[in-house]
Amino acid sequence: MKNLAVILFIFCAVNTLTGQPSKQNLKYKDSLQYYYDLANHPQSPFDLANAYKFYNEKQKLSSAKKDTLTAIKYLRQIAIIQLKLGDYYGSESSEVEALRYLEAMKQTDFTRKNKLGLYNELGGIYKERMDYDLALKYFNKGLELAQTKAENNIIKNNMALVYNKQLQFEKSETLLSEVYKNSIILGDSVQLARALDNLGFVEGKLNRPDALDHMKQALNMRLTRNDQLGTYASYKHLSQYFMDQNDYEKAQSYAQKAYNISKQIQSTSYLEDALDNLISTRPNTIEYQYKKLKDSIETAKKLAENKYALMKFDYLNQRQIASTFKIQKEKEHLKSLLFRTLVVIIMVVVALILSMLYSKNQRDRLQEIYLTETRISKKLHDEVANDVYQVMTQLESDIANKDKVLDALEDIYSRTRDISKENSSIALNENFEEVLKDLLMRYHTNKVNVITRNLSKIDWNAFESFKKITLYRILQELMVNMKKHSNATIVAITFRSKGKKLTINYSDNGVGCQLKKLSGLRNVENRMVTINGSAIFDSKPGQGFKAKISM
Amino acid sequence: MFNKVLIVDDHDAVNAGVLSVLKNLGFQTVDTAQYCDDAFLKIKRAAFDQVPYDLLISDLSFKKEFRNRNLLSGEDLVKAVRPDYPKLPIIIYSMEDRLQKVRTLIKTQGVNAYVCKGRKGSVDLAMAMEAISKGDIFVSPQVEQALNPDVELEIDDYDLTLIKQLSIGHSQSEISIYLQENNMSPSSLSSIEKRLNRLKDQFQANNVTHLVAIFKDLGLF
Repeated sequence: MKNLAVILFIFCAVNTLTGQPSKQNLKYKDSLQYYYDLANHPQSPFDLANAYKFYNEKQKLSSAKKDTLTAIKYLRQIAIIQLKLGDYYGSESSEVEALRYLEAMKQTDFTRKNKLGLYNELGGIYKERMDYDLALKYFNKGLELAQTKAENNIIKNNMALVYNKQLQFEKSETLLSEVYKNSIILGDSVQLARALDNLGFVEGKLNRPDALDHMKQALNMRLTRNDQLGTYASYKHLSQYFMDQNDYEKAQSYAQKAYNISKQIQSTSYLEDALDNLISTRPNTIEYQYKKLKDSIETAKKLAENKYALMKFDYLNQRQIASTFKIQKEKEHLKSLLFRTLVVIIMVVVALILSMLYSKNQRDRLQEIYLTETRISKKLHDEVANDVYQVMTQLESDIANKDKVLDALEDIYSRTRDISKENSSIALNENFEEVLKDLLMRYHTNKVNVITRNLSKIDWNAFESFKKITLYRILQELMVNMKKHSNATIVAITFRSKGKKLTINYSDNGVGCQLKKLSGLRNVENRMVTINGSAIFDSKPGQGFKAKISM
Repeated sequence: MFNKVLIVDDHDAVNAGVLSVLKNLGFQTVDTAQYCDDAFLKIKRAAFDQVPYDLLISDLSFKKEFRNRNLLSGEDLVKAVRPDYPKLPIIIYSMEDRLQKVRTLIKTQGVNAYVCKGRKGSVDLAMAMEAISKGDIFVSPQVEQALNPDVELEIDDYDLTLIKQLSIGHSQSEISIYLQENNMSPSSLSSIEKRLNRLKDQFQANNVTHLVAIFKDLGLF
C-alpha cells in the first residue's frame, strides 16, 4: 500500500466527477440517501453488498423504463461499489455499460462530463489491474473531453501516477509540472500542495536539484493548513526520497513522523501503510526481510487473484450472454411464429377474397349467359314462332296461294338464319379486317352504301379476342338496326385506335329514332359494360343515327 | 353436259329437291352420299372403275356423327378431292353465306360454283351448271360481293383531303396545286374530277357542295 494517497486522490476525483446527487434533492428520498451513505461511507462489511443489491435493482428498473439518465447514475454508483469490493472486472463492466448508454444519447455537456468521469474511473481500474497501457489509453480519451483546468489536472495527475508505475519519470514530470502551473492559476492551496509534492517526488527520482525544495514547500503548506492526510503523504514521500538518496537516517526520521501522524488520523490503513514504510527504511533487519517476502507474495497473490477474477467474470459474462441469447432466440422464435401466423392469415384472407371474386365473376357470367338465352328465346318467339303461326292460319284459309306461302316461309327462313348468324361463332383466327369487311359488305347493297374509314389501318392483332368479339357483335347489332329501322342510304363507320384503346364512330343518314325504343341498343350497352367500355348514342327522328363506341 | 353426278348432303329433303332439278336437266346417274368420307371413297371408286363423276355437289357443314371421320366438312372434302381430280367440277351448295368463306373456296380451293340454299336455290343451281359447262365461275347473288373487286368500302386520307379542301372553298384547280405542294398524288385535275365523281356516287350526292354537307353530317371530318 505504497500509494494510499494516490488511491485516495482517485476517489476524491471520482466523487467530484460522478456528479453525485446533491443532498438537497435527496432529503425526501430516505432510502436513496440511506444507500448512498452505505455505498460511500460503509460502516459494516455488509453495507457495500446491501448497497450493491439496492442499486442493481434500481438500475434494472430504470433501464426497463428506458430512463437512461437515471440508469447511468445508478450504474456509476454500482461501479464504485464494485471497485470498493475489489471486483475490478464487474466495475469495468458496469462502467462500459454506462458508457454505451451515453454513446447512444445526443452529445450534451451532461454526457461529456459523465463520459469524462467514466474514462477516468476505467483508467484507474486498469491501473489497479496493472494494465498500464490500457489505463493510459482511457486517461487520454478523458483528456480529449476535458475542458476546464480542474478536469485537466485530475486526468493528468492520474496519468503521471501511471507513468511512475512504468518508471517513465520524465513523462510524469512533464505532466505534473503542467498540473502544478494550473494549480497556481486555480489558486486551490490543497491542490497546489499536492501537485508540488507529487512533482517534487518525481523530480527526486530524476535527481533534479529542486526536488527536495518542492517537497518541503508542499509540506510547509500542508502543515500551515493543518492538513493531516496531506502532511502524511509529504512525510512519506520525503522518507522515500531520502531512501533513494541512501540517507537512511533522514528517511527513518520522516517515516517516523509519518507514523506519528497516522496514529493521529486513527485509520488502520494509514497505520499499516506508515509501519510498512517505516520498515522499508530499515534494511538489514529481520522485519525488512519479512516485509520484502510478504510484498512479493502479495503481488503474486494479487496477480493470481486478478487472473481468477477475470476468468470468473468471463464465465459469468458468457453465461449471461448465453441466457440473453437464449431469450433473444425465444423472442425471435415467437416473432417468426407470429409472422408465420400472420402470413397464413393473410393467405387465407386473400384466398377468401379471390374465391369470392371468382364466384361473383362466375355468377356474372351465368347471369350473362342467362340473359343471352332469354334474348334468343324472345327473338325466336317474336320473329319466328309468330310468323310461322301466321303462315299456318294462312294455309288453313287460303290453300291455293302457294307462292304467297312460299314467300312468307322464305322470309321466316331468312330471319331464322339471321338469328343464327347473330349468335354464331366468329372466325377470329382469320384476318379480322376481312371478317369485319365481310360483315359490313353484307349490308352494302344497291340501296345502302356502307363506307368505312381507317378499317385497314388498325392493327387488329393488338387486340384481345373478347374485344374483337364484342366489336363484331356491336357492329352487327348496329347494322341489323340500320337495316330494320333506318331506311338509311349511307352508313359511315370510322375506326380509331390509340394503344389498347379502340374507338368507333358510327353514323347514318337514316330516319333516326327515339333512342329508348330499340332493344338492340340495350344489348350494345350491356356488352360494353361487361368489357368496361362505353357506348354513346345520339339520334332524333329525321336526323340520322350516331353512335360512339369506346373500348 | 353432265351425265354422272354425286350429291353430298346429310339432309334427305334437300337431296330430293336437288334431285328433281338434276332430273329436269337430264342427268343419267345421280349418286348421293351423307358423309364426306363416303363421298371421297365413291369418287375414287368411280374413277378406278373408269366411270368417273362429271360433277360434285356438296354441302359445307355436316352433323356430328359418333363414328370416326377424317373429312369433317365440305371444305375438307374439297381439299381432299381437288389435288387428285383437278378437272372435276365442284359446286358448293350451302346455307353458309359468309363472303370470306365463299372467296376462299372459289379463289384458293378451286371450287367452280357457290350456290346458296334458299328459295331460289334450285334456280341458282341450274345457272351454276350452265356457267360451269361454259367454263365460268358462278356464285349466288347473295354472295356475289365476295368476288366483286369493285366494292371498296374504305375512304382514304386522299378522299378526306379533297373534301376538306372543298369545304374551305377551294376550287378544284386550287386543290390540284395544294396536292402538288404536299406531295400527294394523283394531283392532276382529271384524276381529282374522277375521284370526286366516284365519291358523289358513293355518297349519293347531287353536287360537290352536297357531298361536303354529307361528309359533315356523317361526322367524317
